[in-house]
Amino acid sequence: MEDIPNLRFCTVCASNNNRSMEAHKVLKNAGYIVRSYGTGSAVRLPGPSINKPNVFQFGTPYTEIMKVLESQGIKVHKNNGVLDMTVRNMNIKKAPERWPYFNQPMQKLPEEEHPGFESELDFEIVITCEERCFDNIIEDFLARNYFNPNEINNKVHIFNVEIRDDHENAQIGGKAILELANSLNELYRKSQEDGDNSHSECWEDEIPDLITNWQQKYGNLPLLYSLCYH
Amino acid sequence: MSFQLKQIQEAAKLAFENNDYFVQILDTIIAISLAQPLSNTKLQSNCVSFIYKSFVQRKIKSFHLRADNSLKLVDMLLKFIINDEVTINIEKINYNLIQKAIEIFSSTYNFMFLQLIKNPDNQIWSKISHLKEFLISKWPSSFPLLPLNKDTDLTRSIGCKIALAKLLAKIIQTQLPYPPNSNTNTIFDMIDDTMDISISLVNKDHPFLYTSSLNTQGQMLIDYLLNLLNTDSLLPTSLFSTLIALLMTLFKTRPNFTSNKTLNFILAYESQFKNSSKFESNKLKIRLNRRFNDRIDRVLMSMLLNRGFIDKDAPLKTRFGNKLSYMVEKSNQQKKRGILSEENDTNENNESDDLNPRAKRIKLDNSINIDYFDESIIAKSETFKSIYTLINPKDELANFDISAIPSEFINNIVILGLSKIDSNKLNKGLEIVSSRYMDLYKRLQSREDEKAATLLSNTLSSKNQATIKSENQGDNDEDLYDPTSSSIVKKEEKKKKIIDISDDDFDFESESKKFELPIPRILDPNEKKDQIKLIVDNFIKSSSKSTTDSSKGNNVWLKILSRLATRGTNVNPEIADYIRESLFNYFKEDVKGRIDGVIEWLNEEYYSDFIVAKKDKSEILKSNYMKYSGLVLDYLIPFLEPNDRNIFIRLLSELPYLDLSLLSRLKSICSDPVRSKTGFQPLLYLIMFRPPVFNDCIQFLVDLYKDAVEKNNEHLQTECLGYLKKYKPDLIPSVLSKDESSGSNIVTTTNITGTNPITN
Repeated sequence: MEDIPNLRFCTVCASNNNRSMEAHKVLKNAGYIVRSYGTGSAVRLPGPSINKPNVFQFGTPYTEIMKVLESQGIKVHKNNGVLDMTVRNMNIKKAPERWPYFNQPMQKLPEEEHPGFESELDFEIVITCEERCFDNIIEDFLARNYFNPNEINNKVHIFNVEIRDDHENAQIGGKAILELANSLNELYRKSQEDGDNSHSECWEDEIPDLITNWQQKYGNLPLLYSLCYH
Repeated sequence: MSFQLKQIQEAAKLAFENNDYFVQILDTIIAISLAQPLSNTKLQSNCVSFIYKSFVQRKIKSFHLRADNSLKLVDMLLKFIINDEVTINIEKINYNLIQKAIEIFSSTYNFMFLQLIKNPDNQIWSKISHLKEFLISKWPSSFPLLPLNKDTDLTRSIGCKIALAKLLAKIIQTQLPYPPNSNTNTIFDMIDDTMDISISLVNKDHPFLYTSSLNTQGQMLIDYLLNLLNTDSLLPTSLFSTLIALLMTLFKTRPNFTSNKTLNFILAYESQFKNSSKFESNKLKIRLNRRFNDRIDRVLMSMLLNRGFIDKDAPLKTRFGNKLSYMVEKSNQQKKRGILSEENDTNENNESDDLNPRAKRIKLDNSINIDYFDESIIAKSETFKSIYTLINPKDELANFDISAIPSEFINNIVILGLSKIDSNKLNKGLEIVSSRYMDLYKRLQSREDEKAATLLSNTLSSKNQATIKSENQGDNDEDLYDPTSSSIVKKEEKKKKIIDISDDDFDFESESKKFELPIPRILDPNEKKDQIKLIVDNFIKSSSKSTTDSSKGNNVWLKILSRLATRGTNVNPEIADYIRESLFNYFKEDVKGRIDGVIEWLNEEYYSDFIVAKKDKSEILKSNYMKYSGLVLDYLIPFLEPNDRNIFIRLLSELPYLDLSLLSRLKSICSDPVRSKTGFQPLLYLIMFRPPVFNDCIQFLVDLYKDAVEKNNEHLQTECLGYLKKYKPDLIPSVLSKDESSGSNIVTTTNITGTNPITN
């Protein structure tokens, strides 16, 4: 069993700041190889007032974001948890990254920043945290299938765990995502055992039951699921 | 990890780091994989994984390296893929191996096609076609898993089903021409993976690829994919989303064949009109499945709308728009209710039943189609349970031990069940069970045939080996009994040991099958002698062993040997004599204890010499019987003790033929003052109870008397005279007259019985 690698994960939310980064942290701490993206057009964080959000380009280092936030006064951001969040993010990776949409300029860190991945889509599982993000990703993969019809050899399982975009819910969601990841990983590894007497069956057959059990437990985090190719 | 596995892994690493070595390493790994059985999962996994990484994951970046070497994979893929479900199940062929093999085939089918366009090779093409037809025939079954029922099988073996779907799409793309004016590349433009390899590249004069049947097959496969999407069954999301992804690729590459069908399908898709498996009772699971599929359909619709795919067709665009807003509304409602709410289902069901009479009808049809969870006509394993189980094998009821219930209860249950069951359903159940019996019977029979065939070929090959290097034979435990072996004794022992150890594993089936010994090699006389010596020695050895174990049956080997000497090998006196010598030597060790064997043997000798060969009187003295009878007597008599009387009497009474020459061997014991009684008693017995030798006994007494007179042995004289007086008184005067010349003829002239001495 030692030789069987774990599944590799990609967590996704709109801005790659709160929900995807919390999930990124939780999964990373559990020992998984993880990377994360945001699907929005830019990183949007609460600003000094409701109609003045902070907008950053993807790729802006968290340290830069921190500086801007600090310059706007500690109190506002301390209360909504954005400061803590950014500090946490700084410890995980350098900057928020945008989902590598097909045929669009990359807004991501160099690949050297992500050991364990050979390319920007080199993972088995994507977990999005919002239905809109899920839809964007599915659409992106379908577009890839259309425009790049000879590139369908790699399979990615996409899950959406619907999480409200605030600090507390991100933490609750992170735990639920870890449980989903653990059970998927366990199922996957079991299917990959190749001892001479093992007769492993198809792990994908078990995913619907796994999802159902998980959903039963986390009834207020409605799931979505799809299988995509690139 | 074994050395070989490590080597494969290191070679694979090298091939990826330096592509110059790829071809060489690929050839080696394919050769290794072909030489090893599929059950060697670890090794095969490594071999397949290398090819998978090279061709599917494209770790080998060069298009040409992959395309040019694709045909080398055909044999290996045949080995991995062309196996029926039963074999796969019994031999426990790893699921992932088969799945990867199908994926490799699907990733290289167009490459293979390209190679064959350039260099036609009918033989390889027929292999590829075989592989292709086999896999198409498995769509959409649960291959390589054993089937259950049609509905449930749609949700099983997803990994291979997806790989199969990808293969179908690849075949469609390859075997259908690209749309006119869209692409004008030629074979020589084929430089990277974006190239569209298809039948459009085939020249009119190609010997086998320029055919309309490939086109027809491509069109048929499009229907295969769409029919599954249009089926009334709710497809698992993984399969559903895969089919959508594949349709996207075909929508781009073969719009002339697929676009209308695809668009209509997307518009018509309604998960709520699809039936979940009859046996799926988890409502949440079904609800989630519907929700996921709807969502994918919705994303697809919005993509087609937003990216301008259907801008040209305004009415179609409107329909898409309407459907999309309906889908969005539906999902919003579900969101409000919460995913766990059962209202989601009831609403949908009511809606579907009211709005769509088709759905109702289909449900009815379906219930007629599938009655049992496990409708497989193949027994899952070779047990009664698997023959009769019609319910879900994972159901707890399947593990219930019904024998725990008293029989009268069972009777009641069965009677009640039979009285209530629909007869059609019962018939179907019985049909399934009987088909399983038939299948199992066929399976066992074909296995037996196979085993017999392999055994035969094994024996033939081991025989060949034996002739090549007969000296090393003893080391090969798997050899069957082989009369040419020079170390047969050793082997017998070894075999015995093995059987002792692995008693549980002993294959009873092999006992029952027809088994034929190989035809032995013709030996030259010297070899024959050597072999005979080995056999005889071994017989004697086992004989002496069994004597200690039980008195019964200890003479079996001796009997065989004595018959072998007297009948089996009598054409070759050398061999026969060797056996006789060995027998005699064996008896010599303990004549008294082995008197049974001795008597039996000498009887055999007598039978052979006197009854079968009908030897003349003149030859009698030279016969083996006479020789060995004499030797036995000579050997026995000096060691006889007074209490051996019974043995001695028995020997003399049971030896089939006695004459004066044999009787005269008793002279020594009769003359021995201490043991004379042991000598005279058998003689007396013979005189009284064996008339044919009477005369010879009398003659012997006469001779003995004369001898005693010469030696002045008064005691012996008296003894002899006593018997003579009693049994042949009329002879006394002539004996006493000491007339030697007439004495020797006394008995023959006064033959009492007149019996032919040969038959005494």
